[in-house]
Amino acid sequence: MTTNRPTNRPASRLIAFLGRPVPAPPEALRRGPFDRSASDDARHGARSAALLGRAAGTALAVCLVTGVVSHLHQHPVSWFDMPSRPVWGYRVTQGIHVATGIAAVPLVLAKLWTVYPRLFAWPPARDVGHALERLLLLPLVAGALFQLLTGLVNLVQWYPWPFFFPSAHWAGAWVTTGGLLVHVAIKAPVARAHAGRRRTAEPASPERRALLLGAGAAVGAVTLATAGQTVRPLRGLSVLAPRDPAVGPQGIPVNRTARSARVVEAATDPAWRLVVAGPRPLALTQADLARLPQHEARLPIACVEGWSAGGLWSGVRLRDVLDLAGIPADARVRVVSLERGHYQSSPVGPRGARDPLTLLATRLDGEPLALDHGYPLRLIGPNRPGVLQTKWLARIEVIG
Amino acid sequence: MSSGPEAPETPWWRVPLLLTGVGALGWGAWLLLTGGRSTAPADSLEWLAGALLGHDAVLAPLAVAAGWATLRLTGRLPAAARRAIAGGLFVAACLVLVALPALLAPGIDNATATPRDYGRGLAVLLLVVAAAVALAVALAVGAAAVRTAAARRSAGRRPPTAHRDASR
Repeated sequence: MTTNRPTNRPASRLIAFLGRPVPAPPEALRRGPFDRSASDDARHGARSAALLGRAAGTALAVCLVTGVVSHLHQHPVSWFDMPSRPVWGYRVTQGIHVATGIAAVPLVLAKLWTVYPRLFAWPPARDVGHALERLLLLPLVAGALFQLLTGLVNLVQWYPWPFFFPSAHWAGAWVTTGGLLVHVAIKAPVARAHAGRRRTAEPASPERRALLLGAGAAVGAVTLATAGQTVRPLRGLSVLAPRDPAVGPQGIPVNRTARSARVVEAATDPAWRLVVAGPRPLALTQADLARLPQHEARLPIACVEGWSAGGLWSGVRLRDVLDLAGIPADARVRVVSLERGHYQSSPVGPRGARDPLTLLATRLDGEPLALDHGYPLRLIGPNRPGVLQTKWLARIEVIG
Repeated sequence: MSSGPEAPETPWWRVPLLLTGVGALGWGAWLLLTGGRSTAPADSLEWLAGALLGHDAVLAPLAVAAGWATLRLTGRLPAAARRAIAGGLFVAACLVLVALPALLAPGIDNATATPRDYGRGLAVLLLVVAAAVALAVALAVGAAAVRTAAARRSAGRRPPTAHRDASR
């Protein structure tokens, strides 16, 4: 195990190098915001910074963990078949991801406001270590702001950038996490001294208390204003929620309409068939599907954008159709849409494919599927991202 | 890293954590810079820098200016009332920021996305915040007046201005 006691020579040389003073810039440059001593207001003190930093850092960590869960759903790895239970897994983790990201907005802003005077510290760097420490704040601060900004804008399906949001948000998550871990490692002693269990007592400050209360109030306000997109009882209160879980065809929102997916004609074509490519190839009409054993499942559509809405879906079990086509139980399959583009198909691992709740649905809440919900046939399975609940199915095939 | 007076009580996990952080940072940078069209490195870096500058050079100075203006405009109020106003401004600013994407986004061909009247929603929320702040200010001013009167009674005829800032 590594320790940073300066016992061996390379380590002590490194520590000596990091402690080497760097020359201060000429005093003439000390103008504008640099031209005052750091505020001694308790709101800009180490305890405020440590407490807000802990809250903001925890929020970012929750976002990372729930984000990794979503990433594993959407980019499955060969050695790990995502479990299809609990049914509400994706709904809860992604609801938390987005709610925590929104709550992180006031936390990160309050934290940055607290330490803002230090941006103009004089001299800018005392020694090599201090200069590195400050440089390593760049990825943390830029990364956190980038994640919050792109995440918030993505919630309203607005893409004013040329990159693919999931890829950039994924890379940004690791930049931010790296910066956060480095920052925690560097600041651990000062955070412990001012906010740890054995901290040295500091005089109570009504200013600091007001700052923390204000940050807490803002977290509560933005959460109540948006969480109703997945916590249904809050619907009426969440006037800023990007979605209303009750607004949509058949009372459920959709992420892509049939028209924007350009499938209206193909989906309503009477010649539609579901082609199943297996040892016993099938081409099933709607009437064929209606003759197979029918099942019901109450499952949520849960989107990575943090909204979710439950419905009673009915249709045939995916596993019944796979059995009929002679596809083995351990096969990974792919369901393919009439739609072309990024989300034209989605993989279903053996656990999901064999789950009795995974349906090829033809009906929602007792009525035929609306065109925007994937008529004539869609996949709906437990613990699955909404974007992989592929609509307007045309084909099922075995992967690999 | 920077050696301060706190250096002796360094926890053992600092260096492993630091190295893990550097690793994650490197991994993220590699993902970002080698993502080709999916991460569009030049544009991603521009957005990263833009987010940083948007905060450090625009949002934060605005917050500082708003704080300064609040202090100037509310100098006669008891400190507790000024804190309530500052807190209310922060809550209001956060609500505006969270509402902005929905207000600014160009519509898409999907009636179920952003289905609400967000301008009205935001206005209602800001009114609620303003009402809460007004209530807190009234309570703080009332409490300060009660204290001033009590102090005047016990200390004879001292001018009330001596108690202007003694709000707690």
